[in-house]
Order: sequence, then structure tokens, then C-alpha cells
Amino acid sequence: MPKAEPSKSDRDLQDDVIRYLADAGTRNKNSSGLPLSPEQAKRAGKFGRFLARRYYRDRLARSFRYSRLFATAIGLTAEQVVDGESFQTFLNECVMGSLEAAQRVGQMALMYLSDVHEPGGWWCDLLAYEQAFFLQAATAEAEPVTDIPRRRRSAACLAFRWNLPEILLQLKSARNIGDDLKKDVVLLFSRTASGKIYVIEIEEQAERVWRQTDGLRNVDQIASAVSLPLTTVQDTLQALSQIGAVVLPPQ
Amino acid sequence: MPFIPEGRISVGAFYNPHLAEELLRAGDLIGHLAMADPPASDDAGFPYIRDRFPLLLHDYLGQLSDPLSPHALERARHLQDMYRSPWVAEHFQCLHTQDHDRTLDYVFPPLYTEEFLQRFEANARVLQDAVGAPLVMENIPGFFSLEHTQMSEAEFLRRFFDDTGCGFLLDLPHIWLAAHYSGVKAREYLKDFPLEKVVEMHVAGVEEDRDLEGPWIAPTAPPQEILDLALWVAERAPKLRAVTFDAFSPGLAAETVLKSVEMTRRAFGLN
Repeated sequence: MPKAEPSKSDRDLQDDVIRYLADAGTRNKNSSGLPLSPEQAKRAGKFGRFLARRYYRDRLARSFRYSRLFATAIGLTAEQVVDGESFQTFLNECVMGSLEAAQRVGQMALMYLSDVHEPGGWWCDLLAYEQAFFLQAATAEAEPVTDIPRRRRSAACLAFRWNLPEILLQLKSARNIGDDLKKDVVLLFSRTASGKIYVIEIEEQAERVWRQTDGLRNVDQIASAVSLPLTTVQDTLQALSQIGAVVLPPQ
Repeated sequence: MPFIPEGRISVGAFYNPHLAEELLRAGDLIGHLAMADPPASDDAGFPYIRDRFPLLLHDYLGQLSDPLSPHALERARHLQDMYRSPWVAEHFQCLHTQDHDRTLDYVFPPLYTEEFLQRFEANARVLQDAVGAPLVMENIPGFFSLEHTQMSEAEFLRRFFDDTGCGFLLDLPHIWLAAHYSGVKAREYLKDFPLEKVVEMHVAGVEEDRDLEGPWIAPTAPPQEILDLALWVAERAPKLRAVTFDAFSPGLAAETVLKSVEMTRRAFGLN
């Protein structure tokens, strides 16, 4: 069993333990580099799996809360996927809180809830909404510092054929959803560094700026690509940064 | 604003927003409510809850293994202004990395070492000064151990409380689990803990977990064994002011909360 490096602080060692628990790939290696006996490493492995299952169950329940209103009718809830056989494989591979893991689990939930007798024509749009919300809720990685504006990794901009903001209000109040709520809307999903999640209806001009903020263009080049004044683009990027949709270079 | 009366133990629960109406209808059954999250902006029941119950600040304010940011301290002050809690709670935990790239998103204890003791003491003092209220700290169970710890959990906590003057929020299911996985009885495990510092106690249930292949904390009613242990601790904790049923979850049923509080009150002879 390795001893902790003498030069390493206890706080740094604790970070190594946290990474070990969060990352199944690290746990699968022959040697962890941590001062863990084989028996305790086995226990730590169990705890890592417990943490990941708990985390995704919680995030699915919070994110797929509107489809959950139909649990009795369809006999399914999103969080049931964490008890399925395919989730066992995921637990052996995932990095908890990573975007890649959130994408995998979100897709599992979407597939699971798609295979039902739809409660309404808006069902697919609702699931897409909840999947995008889940990506924000279940991605906890820190964003690396950037020297050029770019979109936050989990941020997503989606077009819907139904007026989702209004549909959610109707669902909350247990009211019927009629065809009058068919309306094209574009929603931007984002999450700030402190974990606050935003879903906003985005205007066409701001959407164009967001899409051109690809981590390759500087502000001048974004302004040129969208044919807008530089100050307008700067203000838009600032607003998008405040809701966690883009990451700007430190000032 | 309601307050927890001196001289008798208050039995309460956590605030679950979806149960606001049932909590308000429960009459004098519930003595206080602990707040794990700030009220949502559309929580219509919260103003009535705040008028009706003493509130205990039990949010995640930050991990005291690291200095709290000015934003975190301001948030803690804001919450305390809203709740006027008689004491403010945090945990002996270290669950995210210093670069914030990885988090366990769940209670996880620090290594019990001199370095961590100093870190917790320094950061607890800053938090206590910021909120202007007594700080109580909750024990957190481990499931495995590293060959690096320099003292027991009990010694770490005792020294922390002696050095800082903070109060002890004793989570009994956490103790029960730590004892279970150490292979000793809970009362034996508790013998070196500073029970004279206990201000608040948590009770709840435990259930088998498939990944751990053993018991873990569950949002279920406290079993008689936990309630008996609570009473045993209370007899040794002269500063105990509150016992809280520790469960909050969108799926929690009102019946579970009310039954658990009733059982706890009965165990303490308060019915």
C-alpha cells in the first residue's frame, strides 16, 4: 500500500481521494496511489458507485419533474433508469459530474420515457426540455480559464415547436394543453459557476451571437460574423456570461 | 418572530416546501423547522411558515476545510437575516476539490489530521463572525478509511469544539453508521464524543443500500434503536435544545414527517 507523498498537504491528498471517488476510470486502475489497503479500496469503490447512483437519481428527479406528473399514467419516472441493468455498466465507467456522463444519462432517460403512449403531442418537446435542463443540473465540472469567448460546455440552445414555458405553467396548474400552445420558441439553457440554472427564451439576435461564440473567434470576429455593432455584441456577451451561457476571458 | 423556548427540548423537522400546508396544519406538534435550502421565489407557503415556526439555518454555506468566499459569507448573512436562527449549522465535510473541478455532491468527512483541524477551526471562526450567531457543527460518517489519519473522529471533534467554542449538532444516524462500520456498538462509539457540547440532535432512519451492501441513511422514520440512543444522549447533553427529524426530499410524504415527529416526541415524553 503506498504512503501519501511527504510533500503533499493533507488537503491535496483529500482532493486525490475526491477525484478517486468521482472517477470510475481512476478506481479501475491497479494502483490508486492512495494510502488505501486493498480492503479499504474495495469499500471506497462501493462508495464511489453509491455516490454516482445517488447523484444521478437526484438530478433526474429534479430535472424531469414535469414528466413525473404523468408517472401514474405512463408507469415510468426518469429516475428509474438508475436502477436498470445498463446503469451498472455506466457506473463502472463514469466520471461523476462530467458533461459526458450527463449526456449519457440524459439520453438514457430520454429513451426510457419516449417508449410510452404519449400523453400529448407536446411530449417529445417536454422530454427534450427536461433533458437539456438535466445537462445543466448534472454537469458540475469547472470551466477552464479562456482567452477567447466561448460557450459554456453544458449550455444548449434548442428550438421547440410547442410553447414550453407556457406548457410548464399549464402542467403546474393541472390544466389541459390545447393546440393553441403550438408555437415555435427557442430556449437557451445554462448554468452559472455557482450552480444556478437559467432557461430563457432567446431573441434571434442574441442567438446568432451565442452560436458564433465558438471559442475560435474573438469579439471583433463575432461582431463581423453576425453583422452587428461591436458594442452590441459586447453587451450581449456580457449578458450571456451573467447567466452562464458563455465564458469570457478574465478582465 | 417565533423562537425556541429555553428550558425544554423542541422537536421539529426539516422544511419540505411541498408539505407546507400539512406542516402549517400540524398545530403544536412541530416545534421548529430546519431550512436546508432557501425558499423558492414561488413558494407561497414560506411567509406563513416563517411566521409560525422558529427556523434553523441548515443550508450548505460552504465547506469549512477551505476559506469561504466573500460571496458565500454574504449569502450566509443574508440567510441568517431571513431566518433569525438561534444557531447556524455546518458540517465536518470536505466534498469538493480546491479547483472545484470535482465534487461528490454529498456529505463526506475530511481526513482527521492536525492540518484539517486547523483549517476547520480558522474557517469556522470566520463564518461565525460573519453570521453573528453561534455555529454548530454536524458529524459526518465515513465508509472507508485511509492510512493517513492522525486522530479519531471523536478526538478531532472534541478538540475542535474546545478550541472554537462552537456547539455540537449530533447526527445520530451518522453515529450509528460510523459505529456499525467500525464494528462497535453506538454507545461504545460515542464514549469519547463531547456530548456536553450537544445543542441539537438529528434523528432519522437507515435502510439497506445495494451499492454499499449495508445500511445507510434514509428519509424514513427513526427506528426505536435510534430513539433509545437519542434519549441516552439527551441524559448526557445538558445544553440540548432541539431534536430534528432529518429528512428532506420532493418525494417525502407528510405522513412520514408527522409520524416521525410524533414518535420522537413520545420517546422524549413530550406527548
